[in-house]
Amino acid sequence: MLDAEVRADPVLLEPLRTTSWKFYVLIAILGSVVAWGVYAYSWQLRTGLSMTGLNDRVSWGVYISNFVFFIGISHAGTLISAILRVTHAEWRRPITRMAESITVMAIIVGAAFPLIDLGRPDRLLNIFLYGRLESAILWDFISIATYLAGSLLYLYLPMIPDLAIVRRQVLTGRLRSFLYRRLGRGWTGTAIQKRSLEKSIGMMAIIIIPVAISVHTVVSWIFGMTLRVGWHSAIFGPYFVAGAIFSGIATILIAMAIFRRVYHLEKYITLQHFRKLGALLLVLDLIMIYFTLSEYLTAAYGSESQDVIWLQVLLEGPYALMFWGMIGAGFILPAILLVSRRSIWQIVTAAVLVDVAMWMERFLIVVPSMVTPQMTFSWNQYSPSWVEWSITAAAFAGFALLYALFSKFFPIISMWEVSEGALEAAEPEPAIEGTTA
Amino acid sequence: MRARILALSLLFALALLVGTRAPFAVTEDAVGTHYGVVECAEVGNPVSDGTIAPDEYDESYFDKTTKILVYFTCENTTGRQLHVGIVAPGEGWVGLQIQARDSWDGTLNEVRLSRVPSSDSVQVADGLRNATLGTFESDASLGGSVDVLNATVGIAGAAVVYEFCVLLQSSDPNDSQLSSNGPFYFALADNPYDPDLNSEAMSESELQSLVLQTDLSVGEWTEVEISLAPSEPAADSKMLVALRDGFGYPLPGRGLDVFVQTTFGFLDLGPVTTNDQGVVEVGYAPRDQGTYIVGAAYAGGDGFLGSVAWRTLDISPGYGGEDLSLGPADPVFDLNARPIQAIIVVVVGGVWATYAYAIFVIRQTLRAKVPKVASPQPPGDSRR
Repeated sequence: MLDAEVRADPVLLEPLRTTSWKFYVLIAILGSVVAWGVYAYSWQLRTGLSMTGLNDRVSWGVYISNFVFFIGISHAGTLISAILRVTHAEWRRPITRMAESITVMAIIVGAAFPLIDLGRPDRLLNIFLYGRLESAILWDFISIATYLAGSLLYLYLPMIPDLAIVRRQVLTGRLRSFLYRRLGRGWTGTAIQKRSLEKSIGMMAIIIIPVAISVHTVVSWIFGMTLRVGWHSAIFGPYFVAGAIFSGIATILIAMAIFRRVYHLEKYITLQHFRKLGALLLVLDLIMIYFTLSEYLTAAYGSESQDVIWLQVLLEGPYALMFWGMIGAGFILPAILLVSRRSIWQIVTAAVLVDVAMWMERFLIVVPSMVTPQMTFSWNQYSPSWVEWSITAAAFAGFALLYALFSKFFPIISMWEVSEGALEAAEPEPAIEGTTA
Repeated sequence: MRARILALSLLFALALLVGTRAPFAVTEDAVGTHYGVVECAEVGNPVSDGTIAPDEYDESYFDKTTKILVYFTCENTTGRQLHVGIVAPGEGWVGLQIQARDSWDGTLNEVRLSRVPSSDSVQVADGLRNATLGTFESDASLGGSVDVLNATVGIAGAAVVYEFCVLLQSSDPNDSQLSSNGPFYFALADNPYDPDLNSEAMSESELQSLVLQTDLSVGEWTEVEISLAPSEPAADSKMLVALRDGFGYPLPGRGLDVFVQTTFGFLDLGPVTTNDQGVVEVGYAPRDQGTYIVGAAYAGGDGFLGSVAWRTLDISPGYGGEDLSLGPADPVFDLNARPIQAIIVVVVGGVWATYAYAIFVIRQTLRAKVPKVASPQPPGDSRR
């Protein structure tokens, strides 16, 4: 029986059973980078934000860019899992778990950055003590907390059957046994349980989509609601959401390629998966090119004095190389690579370029606007310090570390969903009411 | 086992890194009467009267973080005393920290002063600061004594002036025990809002180096002056900042820092450079009515002492500000209106309620007893 075959497939359970020395080396390297970032942050905590390149005029820099970027890639789970689940896209099954876990890891890492940027993290309490509904920061806090809770639940629910499988089929230590027992307790696979699970997942899939869209819209409003050149734009909501989905797809493509190779998942993650996601990436790429053109062309055509200065900074000034690099290597080149989508490496190369470009895009939204002088007598300057770069490196390493550890504790492919998909594909088309519950 | 060793090693490395004090960096733009470290000599004629006058001090240092200007003169041949004059904004306390031992061990002798407005007097605390741990303990609590001499206070514009003297080689083991001529570390700290000497410092300068010299001439006196050129509307208001030497001659081409004190610290309006008349015009348009404290500082250099001026800028309705400019309009959406609050609560609460219901649905079935006769169905096997 195909269901049993998939559940017993040693390839899927192998990462949970054995761990090579290479994995420990990877964890040590990532852990070291994270430790260095923690050290840098401890220094910043002791010394204050004067250790960073931030100042009274450019008060947002790399930290807020990272925040927007990571919240952006957290849309991977929403798109791949929720949207494709709601639209009954069958090919999604082997990659939903990877996408959902990216969401959780990215929110955890991304949500830390406003705290790091605060300088005084204890002042987070002020949100509770003196929170005002007019403040976009409060909206952001509520939406991110809601999204994190929803994403955790949406990751956990489809994992329940797999935890039961793992508990039965994988010999683990006491800690992991306890974990699997607690999280998957009570699952026996009865039809009632199955229906309840699918009902819960269905509800979550529907509710998590508007929550995810609201999160990035609210993030964009932090900028858009500010009367500042380059930010005060009505297009920012959809622009940010599109950018988030764009970078989310790119990240899941990279994750798929890595796990496919490292865990030998060629049987489950095929070229077709890359091609279909690549097509989605291409569509989002074209949308991003359209939004970018619309945003900057509108500002350039009006030519208000501050818009002109801001555009000069971006197009000809100190950020010109980054801006044109983003357009050329991050938007146009990936589009060319994605048109044919002949090989996996071609698609993954495009995805890497997209992710790098999207980080630059976030930086270019945050920093040049702050650098543009609001008063006439002086220019603002910003150059990130080693503390900021160290914490940024730690964030990316921490994200990879969490993801690597997750893949060692939980099946990275949703076994029961793949099994269900195979069963549905194998059975004849139902006559009247043959859809699954 | 390997995983545990790895985890323990990582934890140990992490603890080591977090606990390690970062290396000190000398402020790059440190300026006394010249570029480089602050040099203090026995050539001034300090009088502790709450007023800084020409020829009193031979060296100065302006800290751009705390906006405190400090003057020095040392008696390094007899008595080993350090005479200090401080000009600081705010109604809180200011502190001067001086390395405690000849060889740097992370401890600093800290003197804190604040003005008591009711009696126009000064209160002083003398203590030991551990730069590594960031702690401050008063000498009295450590069993020592207050070794601060001739502390006086005065007012200069919107700033407070402190003058005092500390012993570089004190008999109190909790104070400085400096027998050499340095270089020693010193730093400045303040809490501009709280005169309580036991309150936490709100800002601290970088550690800066000080050396004692015997053959230096007195730094030449300078003076900064702020005048206000109000106009209507308030957006066109200007501040004129002039820099003059001890003879009243303008100092052209000199960099000045101009700043305004806000609730969130200092807002820098400069740096700016004086013109041929030693004057620079700075635009500052406060958005709202109120009282603002503005300051302008010359850090010194090329043989000149630093100087600073502080003024209170009173923006009244007649002067300008909100009433004469286009102030913020009434918001179109009042987010505090009850119906809008209710909608937000319903939407956010609805999402969380959905989460709760999803958990409820699955927990109900997971808790249900499975009849022993029924054989378990594999997950996904829900064909009907």
